[in-house]
Amino acid sequence: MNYPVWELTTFGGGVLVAVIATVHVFVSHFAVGGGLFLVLTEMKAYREKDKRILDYVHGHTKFFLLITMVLGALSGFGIWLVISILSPAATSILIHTFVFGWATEWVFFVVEIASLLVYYYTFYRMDSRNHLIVGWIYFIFAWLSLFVIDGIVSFMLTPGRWLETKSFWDGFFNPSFGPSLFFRTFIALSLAGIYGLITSTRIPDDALRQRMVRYCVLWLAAPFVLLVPSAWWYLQVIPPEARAVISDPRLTVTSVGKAFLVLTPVVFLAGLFMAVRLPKSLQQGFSFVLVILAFLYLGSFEMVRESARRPYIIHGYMYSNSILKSSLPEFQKHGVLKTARWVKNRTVTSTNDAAAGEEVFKLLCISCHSVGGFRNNMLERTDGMTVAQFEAILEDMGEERRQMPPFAGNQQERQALTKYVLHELRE
Amino acid sequence: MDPSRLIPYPDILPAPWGLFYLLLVATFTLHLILANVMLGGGIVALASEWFRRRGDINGVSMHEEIAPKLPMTIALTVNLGIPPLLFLQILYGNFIYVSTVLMAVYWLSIFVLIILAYYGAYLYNLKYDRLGTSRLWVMGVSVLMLLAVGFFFTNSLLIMTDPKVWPSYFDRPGGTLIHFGEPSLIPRYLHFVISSVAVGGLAMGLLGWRRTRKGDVQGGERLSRGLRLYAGATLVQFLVGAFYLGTLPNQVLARVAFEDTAVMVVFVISIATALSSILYSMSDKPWHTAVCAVATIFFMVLFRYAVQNAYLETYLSAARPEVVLQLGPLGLFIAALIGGTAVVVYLLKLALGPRKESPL
Repeated sequence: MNYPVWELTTFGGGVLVAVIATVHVFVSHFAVGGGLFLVLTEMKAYREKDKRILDYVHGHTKFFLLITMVLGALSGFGIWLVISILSPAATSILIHTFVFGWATEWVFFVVEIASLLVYYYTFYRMDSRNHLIVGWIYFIFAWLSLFVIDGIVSFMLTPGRWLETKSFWDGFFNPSFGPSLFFRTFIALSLAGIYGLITSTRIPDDALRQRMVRYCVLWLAAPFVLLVPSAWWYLQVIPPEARAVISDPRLTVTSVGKAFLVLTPVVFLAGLFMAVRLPKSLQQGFSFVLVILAFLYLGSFEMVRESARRPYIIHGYMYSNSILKSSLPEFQKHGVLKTARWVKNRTVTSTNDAAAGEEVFKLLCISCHSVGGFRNNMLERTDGMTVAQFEAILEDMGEERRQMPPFAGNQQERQALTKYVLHELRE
Repeated sequence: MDPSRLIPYPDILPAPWGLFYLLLVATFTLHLILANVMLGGGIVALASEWFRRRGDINGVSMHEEIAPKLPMTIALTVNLGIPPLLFLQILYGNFIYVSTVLMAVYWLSIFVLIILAYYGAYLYNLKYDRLGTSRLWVMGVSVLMLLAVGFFFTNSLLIMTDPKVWPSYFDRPGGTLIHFGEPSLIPRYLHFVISSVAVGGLAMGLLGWRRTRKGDVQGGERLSRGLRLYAGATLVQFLVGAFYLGTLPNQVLARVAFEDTAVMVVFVISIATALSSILYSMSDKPWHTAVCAVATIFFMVLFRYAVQNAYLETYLSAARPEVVLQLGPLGLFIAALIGGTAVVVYLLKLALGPRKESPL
C-alpha cells in the first residue's frame, strides 16, 4: 500500500491490461515465429529458384515490419505503461529484481530492429547468403527476447525458490520457465503460418497461391503437434492452488479455460481447411476468420494464465491489490487505512464511515473489480445482497473464495466497506 | 498534508546508484538526440509541405529526404527510450510511479499517440503520391501526436519532482493531473520543442552536405538553410532557457547555480558548446556544428539531472534505497551489450557493403 490507486470505474478490474496484453501477445509471438518463416521461405525461393516466392517474401516482410515494429513494439511499451499505473508496487518489484534482464532484452530488441530494417531495406540488393544471415540474426534475437521475457512473465506465476532466496536466477529459471518457453515458441511458429495466410491468400496467381497457402497451413499445423504436450507440461508445473482456481466451476476463468480447450482443435482444423482449394475471395475471408479464432485462442490462454495467479499478482508473495503476503497480519491487526500511505481517513468513525469505506474499496477491491464495467462488476456481483451475505463473502475471501485475497482490514473497515458497497456505491 | 508522508519506500537496488545514474544519463542523451531528430524532422517535413502548398518547390525534395527516414527514426527513438525509462524507474521509481498514477489517463495515451504518429509517418512515406493534398494533414497529425507525447513526458517528470502537488490526488483521483501550477512546465516543454527544431535543421543541413558530396547542386542550399534554422532556433533557445531558469524555485536555482561548482562548470561548458555550434553553423560547417550540438545536449542532460536532484534533495536523502549487488545478471547485461553491439556493427557493415543483385 505504497502507492496511490488510479480510480477507475467502467474500465477497472484489469480490462485495460487484458486488452493491451492480448493484442501485444498476438503480435509479439508473430514477431518471433514470423522471423523464422521469413528466412525459411526465402531459402525455399532460392531452393526452388522461384522469383515469385521471393517477391512474396518481400511483400510479407513489409507487412511483418508494419505490424511487428509498430503495433508489436508499441503495445509492449503500452503494457509497461499500464501495469505501472495499475500495479506500481508489483511493477517496481519486477523492474528492480530483473533490471539486468530487462536491459539485456532491450539489447536483443536493438538487434531485432537493426536486423529487420537491414533485412527489409536490402531486399534484392544483397547477395542471398548475407541476406539470409541477416534473416537468421533477426530470428535468433527475436527468440532470445522471448526467452528473457518468458523468464520474467513465468516468474509471476511460479516464483519458485526466489521466495526464499530473492535471487535473480532463481526467479528467472522458475518452475514454469521451461514449459512456458516451449509453449510460446510453438504458438509463435503456428502464428507465423496464420499471419502468412493473410498475405499468401492475396497472391494473384492461382497455382502459386494454392502452393503458398498449403505451405502456410503446414506452418500452422506442424507446431500444434508439440504445442499440446507442452501445454500439458505447463499445467503440471503450476501450483496446485492455481490449478484449483482455474478449475473452479463457479469462476468465469473455467469457461475461458474450456474455450481454450475447444479452440485448440478448432484453430487446428480451421487451419487444415485452408488447404482445400477455394476461390481467392473465400480464402481471403477464411484467413481473417482464422486470425480472429487465433486471437481468441491466445487471448483465452493469457486470461487463464493471469487468472491462475489469483489471488496474487506475484504468486505467494504479493496479492492482486499490492499487499505483501507477509504484511497481511499487520494490515488485519492495525487496519489498511492506518498502514496505507495514500489515504485521507486513518480511522473509521461514525462521521467518516462513507469516505473511509470508499478508501477501503479503492485500496482493496478496485484492482480486480470494475464499477459498472466489463470485468468483475461490483454492482452486478452485489446486486440485491444483504449485509450478512456481503460480510460472509468478506469472511470467505482467501478460504472458500480462494481467487480473492483475504480481507486485509480490521473490523471497523469491514463494516465501512460493507456500507459503502451496498449503499454509497450504488448511488 | 505533509507530502513527504506520501513518498513510497524505494525497492532494493541490484547495483550501486552511480552505475545506474551513468546508464541513465548516457541512454537518455542518446534518446533525446533521436527524439529531437524525430520531432524536428517531422516539423521540417510539415513546414516543407506548407511551403510547397504556397509554391515553394523545396517542399518536394524535403519529402524525399525525410519521409523514408522518419519511421526508422521513430523506431529507434522508441527503442532508445526504453533504457532511460528503465533506469529512471530503478533510481526514482517511488517518485515516477506516483507521478504517472496522478496523470494516468495521459500516461496511458502515450503509446497510442506514438502508434498514430508512427503509422502517419509510414503513410506519408509509402502513400505520398496517393495522399495528394491530405499529406499536409497526415504529417500535421503525426507531429501533433509527437508534440503531445513530449508534453506528457515533461508533465510526468515535473509532477515526479514536486511532491508538494501530490496531495491534489485526493481531489482528482481519476489520473488527469497536468501540473499547470508549476511555472517551469511551459518553458521546459518549449525548451524541448525548440531543441527539436534546431536538431531538425541540423539534420537537414547534414543531409544537404551529403547531397553536396554526391555532386547534387541543390545540396549546398539545403545545407545553408538547415544550418540557418539550427542557428536561429538555438539563439531562441537561449531566451527560452533563460526563461526556464527564471521559473525554477529559488532553492533549486541556488543549489545548482551557487552551491555546487561541478554543476556550474557543466552548465558553463554547455553554454560554450552551444555558442560554438552556432558559430560553426553560421560558417556552414555541419559536422563541427553536430559535434558541438551533441556535446551541448550531453552537458544539458547532466545539468537537467542536477536540477532534478536539487528538486528532490530533501526527499531523496530520506529514502535512499538499499543496495544488494547482482553481479551475475550485471555480467549478463554487459556480455549482451558487447555481443549485441558487435552484431549491429556487423549488420551495418553488411548493409553498407557493395550492392549485389539477387540470384533470382
